Parts: sequence; structure tokens; C-alpha cells
Amino acid sequence: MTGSLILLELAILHRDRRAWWSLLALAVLVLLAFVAIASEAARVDHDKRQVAAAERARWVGQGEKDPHSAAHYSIFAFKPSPALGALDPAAGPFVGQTVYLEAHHQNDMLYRPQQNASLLQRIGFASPAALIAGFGPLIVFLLAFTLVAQDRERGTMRLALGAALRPRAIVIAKALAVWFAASGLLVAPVAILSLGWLAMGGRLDGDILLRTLCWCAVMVAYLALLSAIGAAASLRMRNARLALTALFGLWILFSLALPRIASGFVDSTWPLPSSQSVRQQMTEEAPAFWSDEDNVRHRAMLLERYGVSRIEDVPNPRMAELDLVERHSHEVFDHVLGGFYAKVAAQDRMFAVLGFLSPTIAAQAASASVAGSDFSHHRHFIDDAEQYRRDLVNRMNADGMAHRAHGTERHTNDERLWSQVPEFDYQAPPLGRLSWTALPAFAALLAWLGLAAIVLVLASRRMRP
Amino acid sequence: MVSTFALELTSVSKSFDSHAAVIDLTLQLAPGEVYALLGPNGAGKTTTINMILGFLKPDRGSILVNQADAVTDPLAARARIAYLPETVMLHPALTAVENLSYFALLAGHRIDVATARHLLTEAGLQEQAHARRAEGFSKGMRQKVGVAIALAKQARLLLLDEPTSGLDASAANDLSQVIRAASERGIAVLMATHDLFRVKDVAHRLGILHAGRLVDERDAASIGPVELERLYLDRLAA
Repeated sequence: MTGSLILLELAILHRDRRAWWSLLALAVLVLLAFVAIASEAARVDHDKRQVAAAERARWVGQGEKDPHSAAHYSIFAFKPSPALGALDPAAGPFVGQTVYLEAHHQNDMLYRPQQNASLLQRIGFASPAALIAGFGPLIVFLLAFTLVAQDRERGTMRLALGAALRPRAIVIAKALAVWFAASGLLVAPVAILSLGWLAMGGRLDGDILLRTLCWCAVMVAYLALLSAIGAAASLRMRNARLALTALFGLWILFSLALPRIASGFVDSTWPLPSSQSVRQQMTEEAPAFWSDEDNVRHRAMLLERYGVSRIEDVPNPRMAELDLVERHSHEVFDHVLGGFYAKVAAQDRMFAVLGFLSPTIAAQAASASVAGSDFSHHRHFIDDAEQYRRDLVNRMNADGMAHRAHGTERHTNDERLWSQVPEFDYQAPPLGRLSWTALPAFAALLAWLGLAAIVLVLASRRMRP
Repeated sequence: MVSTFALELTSVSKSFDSHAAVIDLTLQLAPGEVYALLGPNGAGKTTTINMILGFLKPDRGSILVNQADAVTDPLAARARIAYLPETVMLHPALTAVENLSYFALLAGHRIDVATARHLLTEAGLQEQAHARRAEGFSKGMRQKVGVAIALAKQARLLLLDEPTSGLDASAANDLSQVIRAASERGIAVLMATHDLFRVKDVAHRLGILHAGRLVDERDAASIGPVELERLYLDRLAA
């Protein structure tokens, strides 16, 4: 019975030009946004692979030289686009795509996609997730208004209530029809397209399939709670005009006002230090050039490490000192940058907690997490690239330290050593490993879903013509 | 003692703020009986129907619909009622058949297209209108679909709120036939109206409601059309 009712409600929606075309227009925008981002990401990933191969050839073919100089010769590491980045790029456009890995420095990432973004992308409304999170409520509320408030205004609800054995079935069928229509056109096509795209690109595996299903679940849950809220509000308002005003107000509150207020609140309550001050702190604590006093201190440490009394007894004192300051810089980077990244994570966590204020915030934070495009996933790449850099520099320094060289003497090596360094091959973490930052968002989404269901049930109990 | 009436109202009263809409109303309908509740606008007819349907709760009194208490269990009462409002507002985007299917589903009946067409024909809707969307339907056509919806529910009590208001003579006559046919099948009909001619045509009994009070009640057969009009005007003037 309920299934047949839902089909008839869907027929009503389908034949209502305003509601259906609005939904269709948003669905087309979602698909276009996906294709635009996915094709750009595919092009850029292709370029990254080519440049990475050239970088590898450059590294291996750098010729005979001092291994520490090789560490300075260095290499670029490229971050592949997250598999679900075309569904929700989240932080992606605002963080770099490549990092220059060299001795003594943990460099900032370079080339933010936002620098090449279209105007629509720059204002943040051109990804499937952003479109669904931002405009989904407007469309869902319009559909709910069409099925519920207009029925009441026209008088059809009176006839329905007179006929219904269970009046609750009327509004539940309407809410489900809105949910099915919105999910069926906004989420399902883009998810299927994404899976097909990934399969064609050979990137589809179990984890990505699971991530896609979870992303769909987040969006479908978001649309479900909006459908319930839209139907309940349409039912409780005195007339259709009030219902439309209330629903429009809810959209502005959920999707436009609260996310901005929440972002401003988090920024002002847990402010981040400027990148300039972070860089300055690192330079002060791990300088590129050390003072004479520092050099004396370093030599004393080397004598102690090697258990000798003269620096001449250290096999390769220059390389050993470089290794010493390199390892010191690792501690500084962990301490300074680690603290900075922890503050960014704290901001993200607080933003996710504020999902309890607005379902749009909850959906945005949860979507970015399951899509693997939030900051915690970006941090995973940064840490992975940094670990690769440290391994590379340590290996170069170790080779130098293993060979005697004093004064102006230099131990050199060649392709035989360079080719022993494995290629940088970043593997994104599996679903769930980095989701703890977004956990409050998932909890908020569930809480909103429960609240919306309760509100709908309460509204349906007091149904009046 | 178990009530054998299809509808039984006992001392029902309802006020809105200080305005008494229905005062101490008592009436009974036997199965198959057609009862016309006469009265001008504001007499309390629609309030009475809303209370029977459970849309409004009476301040006092009891309402039984085929033994179901409409005050304490309005859903059970409503399940026994087929209701035709004064203006039947269908889903304009659905066809007549789809509208009938929709409202029948709400009433717990899944009907196929052939049954829907049969019911619509029985209600007097022309066959070529069955597959048309209701957005272009006249009031009479919508009323006929409403009658089909009421018939599809297979209830033992039919509530009609101003059913002939705005209908042309032919459509009103079709409706009279439907009411008579329903009555012959043992369905009780309560019809709120001020259409005296139609009352005389189809009702077994009539009551005159004025300012919320039932001021007169008669067998329809015992009074002629002219007398009925005089009685009605006298009661309203009193």
C-alpha cells in the first residue's frame, strides 16, 4: 500500500513543473560539477604521473656526486587526487598538490587547484557535495511544500484525511516520495557515474567502493532528515505562505547562515598562527646556517657519539654533522608543524561538533571525511611525503658517514645508490583510519535524523485539514 | 447496550472561544437512512461534520459511528465513514483514475483500473474523463470523483457536506441517484445542506439546525416542498 502511495506521490511531483524542473536542474548541475572536477583531476593526475616519472629519471640520472648534495638535489612528490575528490573536493582546492623534498627543509606544498579554478569553483559551489549540501535543502523543502503545504492549501488534504485509515500514512508517503526523488536524482546518478569513472580509470577497489557507499549514505541521510523536516514544517504551519516562509528561513539558517557563523566562531575561538610565523619559528629553531658556538657544540656531540676525542677520528665529520642537524630539524618540524596541524585538526573537530547546530555542517564534515578529501587526509599525505624525505636524506647521509672523508675530501656515489631509493608511491589510508576528527559530524547527522523522524511523527499525529 | 445506529450523537456541544457553534445536539441515523441537516451558513453543520470525522473534539457529548467512539478513537470512527466535502479538491496532476486509486489506497483498498473506471462511471463521470488529469475538471466532475472515492471506501456511513453546492441540475440529479443507491445498499447518509429541493428528493428525515441548535426534526415524507420552505424560514426567523 505504502509503495503504491509513494509511486502516486512521485507522479504528482513529476508532473509539477516547478518542483520537478528545480530538482532536475540541480541534478544536472551536480553531474556537470562532477564531470568538470573529475576530468580536470584526471588531466592533472596524468600530468603528475608524467612529471613524477621525469623527476625519477632526473633523480636517478643526476650523475656522480656527494650523497648529501644528492639530498639537496632532491625530488618533487606529487599528491594524487583523492578517488572521491570529484564528489567532494573539500579542502583539496585550497591545499597544494606537490611538495619539494630536500634536505633540512619540510617545505610547504605548492600549486593549489584553486589557483586555476573557474569562478564557480572559487566561490565554492561547484562540487556535487557542496551543491547537495547547500542547495539540497532548498529543493527538498520545495518538494515537501509542493506535496504537503499545497495539498493543505488546496483542500486535498481534507479529502485525504477523511479517507485515510491511518492519517500518518499520508505524510509519511509524502516525505518518503520527496526523499526518494531527491536521493534518486541528486545522489544515485552521480555516485554511479563516479563508480563508472573510477572503474574505467582502474582505481575502483573495495575501499573506494565502501567510501562511495558511505558517501551516498551520508548524503541520503541528509536528504532524509531534510525531507522529514520539510514535510513536518509544511504540516504544522497555518497556511502555505507561512510554510514557504518557514522553509525558506530554515534553508538560509541551515545552509547559509550557520555554516558561516560556525566557521567564524571556530576561527576566532581556536585561531591558527600565520604560516609566516610558523615558518619563522622553524627557521629559528632549525636554522640553515649555524653559529660558531653551535658548531662547537655539534662537534662535542659527535665526539661523544663516536666515543673518540678528536674530530679526525670520526670517519666523515662533515657528513656526521649534517646528519646531526638534519635529525635535529626533524624534531623541530614535528614539534612546530605537528602543533600547527593539531590546531587545524582541532578546528575541524570543533566545526564537526557544530554539526549539532546545522545538518548542513554535519553533512559537509562527514562527506569530506568519507571522500578522503578533508584536512586529516591531506595531513596523511604530508606526513607520508615527509617520512619519504627523511628516509631519503638519512640514506644519503648514512652512505656518506660510512665512508671516510676529511677536509676537502668528498665521498661520492652514483646511480647505484640513487636507484636504491624507492619511488614515492603514495597510498591513501583506508576508510575509517582518519575519521575520528569527523566523528562528531556523523553523530550529529544521526541525531538530526532521529530528531527529524520524531518531529515528523509528532506532526503527523496532530494532522488537521 | 450496543448501539444499532450507524451514527448516534448525544448532547454534543462545541464552542469556539465564546461562540457556541453546536449546542446540545442529539440525533441518530439508522442504517440505510438518509438524514438531511438543514441550516444556513454558520448554523453549525460543518462543525458537526468535523466532530463526527474527529477533526474537532466536542466540548461535551458523545459521538458513535457504527459503535466506534469518534471522541476517544477518531481514527476508528473515521475508518467507518466515507466523506464528501463541499468542494472536492483532487490532486490536479493526477488523472481521475489515479486520484481514485490514491484515496482508495489511503482507505485501505487497492483497486485496479477496471474497478476504478467502474466506480467513476457509477458516480456519473463520463468515460472520456477517466484518464484525464483533474486540473481541468469542473466542480461537478470533481464532485463525481469524490463520490467514487466515497464509494470505494465501502463505509457504512456517508457524510456529505453541502454536496450539491455549485452543481448544475444534471450533476445534482446524478448525485441524488448515487445517494439513493447507497441508501438501498444499507449505507446511512448524513447530508449537510441548504438545498431544500434536494432534501425533499432524497432524504428520509430532516433536521433544521439554527445557531447551533437542532430546532426541528421531521420525516421528509410528512411535509411538502412548499411547507418545508415555510417551516425552514419560520425556524430561522424564530
